[in-house]
Amino acid sequence: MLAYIVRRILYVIPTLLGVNVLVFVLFFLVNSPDDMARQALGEKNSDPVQVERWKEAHGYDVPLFWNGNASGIGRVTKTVFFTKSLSMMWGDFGKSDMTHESIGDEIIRRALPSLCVTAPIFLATLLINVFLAMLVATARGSVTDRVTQFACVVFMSISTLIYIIAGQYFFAKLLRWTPVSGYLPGLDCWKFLALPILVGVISSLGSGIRLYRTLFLEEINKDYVRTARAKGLPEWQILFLHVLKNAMIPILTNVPLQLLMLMMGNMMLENFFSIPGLGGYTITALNAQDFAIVRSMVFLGSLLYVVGLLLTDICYSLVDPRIRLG
Amino acid sequence: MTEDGSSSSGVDLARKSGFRLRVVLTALLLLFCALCIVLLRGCTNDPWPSGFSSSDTYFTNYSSEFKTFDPAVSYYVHEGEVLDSIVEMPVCYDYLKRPYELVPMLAESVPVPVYYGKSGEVLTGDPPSDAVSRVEYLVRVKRGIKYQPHPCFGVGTDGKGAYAGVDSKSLKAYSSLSEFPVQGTREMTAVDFKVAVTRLCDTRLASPIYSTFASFILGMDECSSLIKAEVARLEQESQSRGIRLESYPVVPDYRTLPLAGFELIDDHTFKLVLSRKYPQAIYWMALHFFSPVPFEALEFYAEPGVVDAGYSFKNWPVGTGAYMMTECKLREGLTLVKNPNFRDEFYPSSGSESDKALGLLADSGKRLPFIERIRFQYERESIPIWIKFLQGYYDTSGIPSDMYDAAVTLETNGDMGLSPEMAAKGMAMTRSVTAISYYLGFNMLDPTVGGLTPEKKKLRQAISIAVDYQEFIDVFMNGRGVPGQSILPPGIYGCVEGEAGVNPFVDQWDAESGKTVRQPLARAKELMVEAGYPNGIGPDGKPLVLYYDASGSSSQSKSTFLWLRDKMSQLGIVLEERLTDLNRFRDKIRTGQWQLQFTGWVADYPDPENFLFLFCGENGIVATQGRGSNKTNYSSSEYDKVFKRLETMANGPERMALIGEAVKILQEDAPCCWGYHPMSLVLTHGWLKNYKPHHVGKTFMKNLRIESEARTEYQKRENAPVLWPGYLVVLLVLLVGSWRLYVWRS
Amino acid sequence: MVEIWNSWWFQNTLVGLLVVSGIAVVLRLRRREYWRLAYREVCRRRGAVICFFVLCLYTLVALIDSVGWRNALRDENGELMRDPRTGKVVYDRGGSALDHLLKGISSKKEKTYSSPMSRESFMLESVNRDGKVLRERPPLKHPGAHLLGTDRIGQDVFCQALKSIRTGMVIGILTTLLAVPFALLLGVASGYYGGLVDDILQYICSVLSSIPTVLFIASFMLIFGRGLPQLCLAMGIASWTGLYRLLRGETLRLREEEFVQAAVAMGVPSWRVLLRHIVPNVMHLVLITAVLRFSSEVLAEAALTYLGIGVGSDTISWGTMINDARTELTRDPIIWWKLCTAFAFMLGLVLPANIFGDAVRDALDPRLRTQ
Repeated sequence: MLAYIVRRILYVIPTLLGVNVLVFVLFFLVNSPDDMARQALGEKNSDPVQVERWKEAHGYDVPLFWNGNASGIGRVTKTVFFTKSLSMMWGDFGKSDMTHESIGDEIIRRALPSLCVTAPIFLATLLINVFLAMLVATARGSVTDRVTQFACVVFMSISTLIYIIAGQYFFAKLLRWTPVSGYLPGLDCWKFLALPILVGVISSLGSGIRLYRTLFLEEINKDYVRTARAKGLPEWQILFLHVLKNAMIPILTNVPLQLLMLMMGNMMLENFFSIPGLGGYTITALNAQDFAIVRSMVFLGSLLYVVGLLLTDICYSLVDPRIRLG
Repeated sequence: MTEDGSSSSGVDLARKSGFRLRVVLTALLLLFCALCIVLLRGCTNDPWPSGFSSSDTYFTNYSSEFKTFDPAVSYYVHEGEVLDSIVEMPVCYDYLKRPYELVPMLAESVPVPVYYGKSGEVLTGDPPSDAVSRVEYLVRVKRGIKYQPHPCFGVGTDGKGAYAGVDSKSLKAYSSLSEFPVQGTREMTAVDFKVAVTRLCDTRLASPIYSTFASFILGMDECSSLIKAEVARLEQESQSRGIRLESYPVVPDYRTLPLAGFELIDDHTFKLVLSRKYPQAIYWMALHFFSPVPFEALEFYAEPGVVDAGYSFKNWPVGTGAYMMTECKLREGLTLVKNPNFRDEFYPSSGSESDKALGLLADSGKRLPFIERIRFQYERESIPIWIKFLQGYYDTSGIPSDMYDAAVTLETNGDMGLSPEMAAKGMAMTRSVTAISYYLGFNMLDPTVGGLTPEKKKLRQAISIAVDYQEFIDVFMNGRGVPGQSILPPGIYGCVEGEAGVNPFVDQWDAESGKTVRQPLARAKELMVEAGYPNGIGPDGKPLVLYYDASGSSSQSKSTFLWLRDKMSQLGIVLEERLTDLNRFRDKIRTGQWQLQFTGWVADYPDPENFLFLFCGENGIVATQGRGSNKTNYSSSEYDKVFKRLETMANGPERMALIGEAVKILQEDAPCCWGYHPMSLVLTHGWLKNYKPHHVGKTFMKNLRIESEARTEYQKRENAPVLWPGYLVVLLVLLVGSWRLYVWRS
Repeated sequence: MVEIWNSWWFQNTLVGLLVVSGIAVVLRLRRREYWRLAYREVCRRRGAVICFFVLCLYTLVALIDSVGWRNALRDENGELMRDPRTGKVVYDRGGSALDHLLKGISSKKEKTYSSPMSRESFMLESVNRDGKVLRERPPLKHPGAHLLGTDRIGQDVFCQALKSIRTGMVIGILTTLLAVPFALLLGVASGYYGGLVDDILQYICSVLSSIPTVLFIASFMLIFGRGLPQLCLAMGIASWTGLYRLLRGETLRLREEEFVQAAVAMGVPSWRVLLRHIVPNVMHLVLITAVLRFSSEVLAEAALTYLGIGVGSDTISWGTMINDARTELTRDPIIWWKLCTAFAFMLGLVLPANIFGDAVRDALDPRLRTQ
């Protein structure tokens, strides 16, 4: 058990290193620091001297991989790869290319609004979907089930954009329940978050119900259910008391991964409702072509994913001892 | 028996747990419904923090991000609106008077130039440029003007700055500069202007107006190299102390570095010395490049602790203006509050009859500023702005073209008026033509569209006829604009309106409607034949393909391109779009690798020179390697000659004639298709008083006044949520849920 | 290079090749019992068959829009225009077959918005009548010609929706086509050979898949610019890892099967084992994944375009249409037709794709078929 966990943790390091190198290749070899400098400087002042100066001010003026001019350890550490890419491994994300604000601070500041959007959506979605899927599963094979199944497919086939646009139109414009968009820190935030959360939940209903329904049906076909049925337990008790408990295992073991990924925010919702979270941060950086922020977010996303996966695996191995062999 | 018993107890157990489950489910259902109702009751669409909407706060917004508020660097209109409320200049424009008139602000009077001839004698009147060898402006600044409270003026126990050598950790507790415990102020003196002007010479700042200033202020280049040397010395010094230069840039003492063009006479007097005649210099004194910069502020923002805590001069400007910054989150919003140290400044008491009729003189003589607090909110999209304006959460708004017909009606005389629905809500509309020119530029260095041969001129004229900007204005701007006849927008000296101003090469006068219209398309086709492209087919037998260069892409720019392509196809020309990122696009502009681009120019000051210099050959963006403003790279010795003569001349019949001559040359050569001058329509709510748009000066916020009670009342009236659909849904859930529970039991 | 890529003969050949190879694959599969059974299973569902025909209709439109030609230019007298120097006939820039078909509608441009089948413009215009300026709706240039109205610059919305079909189909199909060879090759190799090969491939896979998809596509598009080919490539790279895992697992299982073991024991070379025994037996997984993923790729395009990392705005797609139209709902009076058209056309593709995908999965996956 312990050996498995240790092995699993050790595997995280090379994976992150790989991501790091990949990010570096994308952001420094394909798109050189010179390109970045010219982008950041205005039209009026992008002569070569200014480009050099910009690179110097942002720490891009050192060689990419090997600094021959430095001595000792500096040959490795005084390089773009070390200072801009590898440093992300120990949480040093550097500064934004455009605004010079510390990216790490900004990430910490924006993680909360992001979580305020994604966490309620996650929880509400989980509860509502499981509940509705149970209802559907109790009525499996009936007309209600078929109609619901079809409705789910229709729901799944609608673009998130349409949900957002329609939601904003009905709830904000026609019914005036919430502000159109925006955000405020502190307790005032709930009035801004209500609509994105509602839209987020509705847009995930279709696929959610279908997924959980399948999970429940898989479980229903198992032997212990047949036994319970033979014992004369009412169908819905079997569902709520036995099937639910067992079907939740695969659902809940995924939670650590999903919880961590919640931190990254929801780009669509944050952008549409102008919520200053990490998703919106990424999009703003993309539009401003702020490479430092984008590469930090890419790495952060991978970091959270890898750690989340690790936790999930550990959870699994705790719940289901058979996994350990894998 | 035993078997029976065990099985019955099993069923019993199931029944019991089933009962419990049912209770839980019922409770959950009720709880859910109750929660929904509570949430519905609490619904509000007020986008501001509680209590804000009813306070004396002016709400406005910005949609493109702020880059810097450093008065030496900032050059965007939206930044100017913030910065010019915080800092002040020697002179400014009168709030009400039109045409624009300069009045003293920090100076005691509007400085007048004194011209000196070659031998040092004083020249009177309006001497010709080449007779003048030196110009002096004597500026006396007002006494007793104090800076806003700011930690940089705070004095510590040891007499030094309160935050000298401060540790960033101790500053992390404060979320804003205004929360710092030690604040201070001091009187503004002439030295602060010295710092401001000398700072412009610092190449590290890359001030966008340096080259313009260096062309008329004496000794800017020498000062620049002095600063460079000084910076190098200081950098070496701090490097030896192991300080990272990129994070903690050094600050040379701008107070003592000599600048030939700036003579400090005493604490309240300085002299600005110009190397040549340049009457426009006085307009530059109305821009924030000339606002006083306290050296303490620069020292404060260079403190490593302050830098580490995330404060910088470009985000937290220091000034003497009516407002000061208390919150600065560039991607969320800014908050400005009244500067308690603001000097005695009063609302203007002279204005025109129409100003009086509009009630703009009601507050005459009252002390400024009126509004306690200004909130700048970051809004990326135009629609939420409009909706929030309608809801009463913004005080002013432009009219998005999508909403035009809901907001504007035409009066019988053809003028635009406010629609009855909007008027009923107590709004008012202000309209004015802006000092902006948008145009479709041709790259004059391009072998296909450029060049000054008669054929190429005709090609460009033909394209200009086909691209009818009146239609563009109708389609994209609801008619809110004036098609351009030349680069000069209406209201700028030298712009001729009406029949006399018609561009004879492209337009004609339509007496019936009293407007200029494009010449018929047949004329354009004739010109195409003369240009060697009959039906758009070139000498090589292939259709003429032109390239429209643009950066980025929005849905608006896409529609614009498609419209343009449609117009060009009338002449048989194929237009293709070359989209690149901004980076590459700027490269293309700098190196002249483009054909057509749509661009514009906003007046820095109300003088024709500020527009006509866009076509001066010396300013060619390729010729100057990116430093000039002449994007079309137009270069004609004939034009340059006329331009040089009118450049520094005082307004009068002679200058008028020269401007006419210059415009005529441009119209014939057609280095661009003259686009349009947008008309600005601004809606204001009834509770906002004293609003009058000013398209050059940006220090208007201190003049505004808000009647908060009226606003609160309006907000209450307009924003009552429609709750019955919500209740209906809750009722439905309740019904279905209880039915389901009932069915299960039986 | 770009010249060739954009030329019609190249594109026509490519489309032809694709169609021919598609037909060849279908013919080949028909000979196998397994696929015939699955085919019968799908046919039993009336809904799935209807959906299949809808999909075919969309594919047809996309195909028509992918082949094209150039027309010779003629002068006013109807004579062919010739290059004065070489004497060669001069051609225009050409268009796809669909462009040629739609010329009748798409060339009928209006000034700006008009509602579906309307006879007058939607926007008010100032008209000078007897010295009085009135605001009224001018008649359209082509009254009643626009089935689904026109947009802001007077382009026919129906035409745009039809042109979007190709973009949607290209993204749905090409993305998978790009991902499948990689996933198949690497997945099968990794599962079959195991050992070091497996370790390395697994490592690459875990590195790639640990970057969140959206962020990967975002940085890819940021660096390589926006456009349809880039988007397909980015989405293809981002999506091969899932299929790779699936195939690797399946191959691991198959390797232990008797028929594979028997083949190995008989000394059949490994590439032959892979080709004859493993690959045909994982093809159903490939097909299921491709069909199921199709709809989500089409939906993803719209979302990515909204975020500014999808196709460029010069490519017509449902994403750009929705993006253009999303502010139109807040207009007063409201303009709904562009948004609704894009929505309906998209739903018309994605919904059948989903239903058909479900049917295919049920038919091909024996485990689920038993339910």
